[in-house]
Amino acid sequence: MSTAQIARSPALVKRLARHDLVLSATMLLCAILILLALVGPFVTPYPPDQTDILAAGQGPSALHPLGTDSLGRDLLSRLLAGARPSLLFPAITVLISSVLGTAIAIAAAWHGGRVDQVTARVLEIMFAVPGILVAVIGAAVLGTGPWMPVVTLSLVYIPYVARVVRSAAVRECRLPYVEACRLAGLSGWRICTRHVLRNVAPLTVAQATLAFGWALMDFGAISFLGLGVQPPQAEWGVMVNEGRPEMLDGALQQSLSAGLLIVLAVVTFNILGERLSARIGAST
Amino acid sequence: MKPQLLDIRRLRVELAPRERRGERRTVIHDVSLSVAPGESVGLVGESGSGKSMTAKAVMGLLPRGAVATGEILYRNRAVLEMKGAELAGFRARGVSMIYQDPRAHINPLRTVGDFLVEGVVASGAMRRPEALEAACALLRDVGVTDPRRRVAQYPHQLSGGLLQRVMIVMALLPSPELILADEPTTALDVTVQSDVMAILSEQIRERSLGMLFITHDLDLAAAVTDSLAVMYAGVIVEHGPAADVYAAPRHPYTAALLASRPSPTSVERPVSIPGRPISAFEAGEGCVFAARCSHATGLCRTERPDPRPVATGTVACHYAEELEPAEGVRS
Amino acid sequence: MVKNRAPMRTIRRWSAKLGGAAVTLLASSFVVFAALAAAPGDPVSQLVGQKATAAQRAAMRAELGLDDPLVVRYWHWLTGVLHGDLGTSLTYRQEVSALLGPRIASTLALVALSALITLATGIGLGVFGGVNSRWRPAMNALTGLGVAIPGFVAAAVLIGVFAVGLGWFPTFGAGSGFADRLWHLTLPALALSMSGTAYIAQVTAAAVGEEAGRDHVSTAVGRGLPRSLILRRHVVRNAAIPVLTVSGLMAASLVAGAVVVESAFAIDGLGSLLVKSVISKDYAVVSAVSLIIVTVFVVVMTVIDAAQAALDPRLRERR
Repeated sequence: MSTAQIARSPALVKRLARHDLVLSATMLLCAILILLALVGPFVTPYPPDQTDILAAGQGPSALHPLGTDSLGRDLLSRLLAGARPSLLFPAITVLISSVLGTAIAIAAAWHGGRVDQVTARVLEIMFAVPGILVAVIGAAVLGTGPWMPVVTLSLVYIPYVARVVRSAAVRECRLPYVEACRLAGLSGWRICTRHVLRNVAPLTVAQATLAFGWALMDFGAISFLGLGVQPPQAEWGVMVNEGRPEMLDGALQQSLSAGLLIVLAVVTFNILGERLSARIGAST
Repeated sequence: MKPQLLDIRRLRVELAPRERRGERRTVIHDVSLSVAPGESVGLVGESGSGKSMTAKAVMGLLPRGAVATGEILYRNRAVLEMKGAELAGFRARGVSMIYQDPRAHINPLRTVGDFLVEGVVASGAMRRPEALEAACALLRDVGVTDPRRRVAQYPHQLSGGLLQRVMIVMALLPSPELILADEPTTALDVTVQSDVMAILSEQIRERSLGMLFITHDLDLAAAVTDSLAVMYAGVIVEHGPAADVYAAPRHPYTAALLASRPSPTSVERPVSIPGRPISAFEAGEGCVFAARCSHATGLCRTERPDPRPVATGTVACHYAEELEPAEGVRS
Repeated sequence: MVKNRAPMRTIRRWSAKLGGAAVTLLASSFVVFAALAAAPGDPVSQLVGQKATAAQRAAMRAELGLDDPLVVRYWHWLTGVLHGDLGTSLTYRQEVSALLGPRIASTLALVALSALITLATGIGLGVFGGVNSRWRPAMNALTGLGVAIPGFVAAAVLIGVFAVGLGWFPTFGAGSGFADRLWHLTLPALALSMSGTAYIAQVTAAAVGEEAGRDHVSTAVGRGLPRSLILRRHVVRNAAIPVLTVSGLMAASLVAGAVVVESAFAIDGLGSLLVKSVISKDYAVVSAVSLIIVTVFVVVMTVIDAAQAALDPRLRERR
């Protein structure tokens, strides 16, 4: 069974794309979003921070396809430039919590007994703690700025990955081949990294993808509150906030377009994460 | 012809395809079987032979999207065409099913008493207090001591053997005429299997109920039933009085099945059947057993044999008359 | 014999649970307190002003007890809290408890209304989708979109469309009088509950769908029980356990979501107070509001535990 599972991972992506239109569309969107985060800041028609009082508060036009904000900054440029911080900081957050979460999960499953019980209980309590709250209180301690939510949220998301990976790792550790490896004289570290980790890795990826959706929302909310990315830097959560006064004058485009991009990104990664975990569930 | 309680005629079941635009999977090719009032019929086969699906078809419990053709007659009423109240009435009063794994088939969140009386109370046959009274009496009949305490308990507080007795009582309480028992002892500990089986067959005999007893255990089936049907890959290959089938199997598959059992008295390796058991939808045009049969000829691989009367039963084999009955077990 | 020991066991189990809740409360309040104590910034300079002498500062420090070890300060704070003294706000120059009173009321109203919307709509939609598989894809699409709309985006869209665009609802504020308050709360409550409602619907539909496929349900079908009875007594009843757990967590997270939505709609509640206090480094208020929110969490978790045991007989005898 273990060999079959190990052999499974490379073919996963190929099998994923087959027969699934929604998934193909999602993967395309996902690729576009990643591309935006990589090249977005370089392809802006205007410098994203360039104010132009004469062009302030304009609707969509040939010069400004999405219009301008109240300082006359080009909205399309700000959305493009905002893609990187909006996507990258949550990605770093989820990366940290996935690594920590998987390590904790495998360690707990490997040691079993009381260690595992206590870990499971702590993870359960941590799971109930909402990220926004921790980040808001964290802002009081660490100050505002984009790295504050990275630090606080990466702690908050540990259980998102660890809970699910832990139960898979517990099952894995109970399989006879693990015992066989141990009897063959392999060290615990080697068994965990070479075998257990490899077999739970697809699950980690799936959970991390789902957690990324949460991270996008929480990170946007922190910036919206003015505690994360600081204006005048462009970021989607910041832009939803900056668009609010304009909205009262009937100019909805800033808040709506930035908000829509966040929703689109969240939907994309949610669907991707769900399909991934469904496939993993179906093949085990 | 004597009136039948249950009469299955040329039943064929296809399941919905697994994927969109996939092919339907045939799980039962051709099953004809009858149970007379008071008769016990054994349906024997390996896992995947379609025996449980046959029971599900009788109960009208086929999975969503499944298509069943042929006829299932219960007292001359077509079960496959029943709907709504008629189907509910048939399930509530005509037939009861005993399932393999009582732990999974009983709602863990309701008390044993709730589970037992739910059917008769819902169908209006009894009021709750008298239903509980009747359930306790039946529990005592099947050897449960202290039934009053048991009905107040939850399933997880009972052992598997005890829970299967509860299931038997659930099946008997509405006084049905037919019991479908789907591997009723397989999930139990070996030590309580014979107890539960003895209780079940005793109750069936006392009430002279019809029973369709589904099992993979040929010996057990031969011991408790009047007639035996042997099923392989969605086809009944041999059907006849239990003692005759058991003593002188005529279909090569039945013979091989008997020969492959481990013997309780010797340590010689049993003769296993060559090849692996196939599912019904893997069977080609010919005889479903052709690939594993040592007597198979070209005819066997191209044409599926219909069941034909041989001696006291029927055998679905082109060479049923020519092949000598194999050495079975004389009881 | 078994019966006689059961109440004892229940009492012991419950005292353990309540003890655990108290420890969680204590530990988390200490973590928040310690974290805030470690925060940069000197409350003294805010109090005595930039021009104060070193002696004045030292006197103020001693008066505030800032020179004591952390644990001692936590103890003082805790005993104060237990006596109803939550400290003094540095920015509002007011007792924290006096600040909290009216704000608790408006946050409570917002969260209660949102919880009502979330649970009623979410569970209703979920049961419907779980039972009627024909509607499942439509529901999946709807809830898939719903869970992805964070509160602040929902707030922006709702304000833009229903307050500014159509003018049906007020944009900001809390209103006065019951009907007016409800009118003011409608959009914030919708914004706050949108994602949670969709999530509850997803969880409910999955739980109902999974339960409907279980063997014991096919037993019930095979017994000829009426469909409505099977749905009520076997499917929905059993699915209630996971739904309850998630609903509790969701209700608790509405309190956290209120932080964002109150800021978006300029509602003067606990959440917006917390954000303002964080920005102005008003730590007495931050610790008080955190304590309230943590308490809500611990209470909700304990209630979930109790409700689970009430719904699931298998959990009643553990340990």
